[in-house]
Amino acid sequence: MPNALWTNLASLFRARTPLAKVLADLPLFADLTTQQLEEIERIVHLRTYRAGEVIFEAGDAGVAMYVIVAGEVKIVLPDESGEKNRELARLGMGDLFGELALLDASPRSATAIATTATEAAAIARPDWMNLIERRPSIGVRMMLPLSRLLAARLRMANRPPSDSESDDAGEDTV
Amino acid sequence: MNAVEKARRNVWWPIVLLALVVGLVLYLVRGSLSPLVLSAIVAYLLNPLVDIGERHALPRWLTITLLYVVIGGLIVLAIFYLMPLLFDQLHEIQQRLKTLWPLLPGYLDAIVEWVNARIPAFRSFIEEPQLGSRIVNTAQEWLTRTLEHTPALLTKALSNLVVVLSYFVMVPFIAFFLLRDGRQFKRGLIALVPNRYFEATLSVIAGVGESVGRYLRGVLLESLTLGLMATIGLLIIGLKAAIVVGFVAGFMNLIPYLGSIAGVVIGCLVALSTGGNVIGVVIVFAVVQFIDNWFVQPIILSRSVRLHPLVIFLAVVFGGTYGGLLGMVLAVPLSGAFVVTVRTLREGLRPPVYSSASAG
Repeated sequence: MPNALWTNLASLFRARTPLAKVLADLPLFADLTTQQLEEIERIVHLRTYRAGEVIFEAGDAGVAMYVIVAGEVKIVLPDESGEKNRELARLGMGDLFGELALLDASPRSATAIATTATEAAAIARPDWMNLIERRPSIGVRMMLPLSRLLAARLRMANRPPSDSESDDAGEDTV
Repeated sequence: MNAVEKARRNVWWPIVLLALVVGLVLYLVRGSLSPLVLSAIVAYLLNPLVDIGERHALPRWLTITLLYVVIGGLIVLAIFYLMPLLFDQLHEIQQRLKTLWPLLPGYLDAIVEWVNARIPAFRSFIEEPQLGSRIVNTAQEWLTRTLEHTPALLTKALSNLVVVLSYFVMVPFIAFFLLRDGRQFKRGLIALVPNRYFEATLSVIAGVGESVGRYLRGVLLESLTLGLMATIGLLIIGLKAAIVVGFVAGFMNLIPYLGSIAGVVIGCLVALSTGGNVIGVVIVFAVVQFIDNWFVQPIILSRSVRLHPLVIFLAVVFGGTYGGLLGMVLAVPLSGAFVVTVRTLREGLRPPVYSSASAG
């Protein structure tokens, strides 16, 4: 039965890798079809970091957005002295940071450091721009979730610093 | 100053080392580099078209194959229709020259006589009788030899079949894979980059790719426009061999400034030998150069590099010394690509900005 053979082969190739699973669970990629997600996967750079390794530093020109595939990352804000770091957030598997870099090349506002051995999927702005140029439907389906994400961050940042705890989380726009 | 910052200060030397190693390797394999360079140029030129195809849901391999079919068809058409025309026109010029030459010595002798009559001091220089005919004879011998050998030269170039065939096979082959899998190659290379340079490398590669592609496409498009304008202009003034001259001018324009100069010189020679309109030729190329400088270049090459004439001259000389005619044609686009690369590298590797205003 050639049909059975082909469906078997197709399912073999469609089997989701851990990376695809992590990406598919993100709200940012929620609207994408499996095929479109594969396109995203094709532009992803998988990076591995040792515990304590800096992923990017405040002040660097931001080029890529990161999704944590495994491990843990802390987002810190360097003090004026540059010595003491104020921790803003701790992110785990499936969390996303540096997403502003998808939109422009403004400097990173905080530093990201891997706290354990970490694997992160990086999506670079030039690659992403090129992808949505070639596949506009991907761009359309990502714009709304991306806007929602940024709106949520903005709303958090604009919240009056009434309770001291939320102040830190508010600056989690990396 | 903490350790991270210290490490950052030394960011430049591994890059310089890498550049040196890459440069050395390129120097060692320079002999087999030109098909690669040509393939890369072809890939840069065609990539936007392949992207457009992908936008309309055409697989990359299909778009590339279609493009190859179209380009191959154009080349075959050119060989079948344009080549005989070119040879006819060359032949005609040759014939005209043969009838014109015998008249020249008389003119030259008359000029010498005229000069001698008015400036007696000149006579001591020009003692020999019939100087005019001797000059003309030497020039004629040289020119007829060259012209008679032009078809032979072309056939000789073509008869070096191994080289030509290897180019016709290798360049499309390499370019095909560069076009189809270029992004995968790039991703594989970036995977080797240490984390510290990851983002800088991303932005540099993207910047270089874009500017070099834009530059190469610009140069080619400009040469094409110039060649077309020149051909149309020469056809209007009714010059014999207008297509040949326009074609040569367009091709030579890959070396900046040379297109119009070569066009004027060859065009005037043709006009002189065929009784054509010499002033018309000069006017055509003046107008073409004017349009090129003021309208075509600002539009096509506006956001691209502009090389100093001296740099262009030196690049062409070096290119000619090390790569022959192909080297001369490739020299300027390559120097342009080099300048764009260095410029983008410098932009990409500028020290990070620490400003309190941007934090938060």
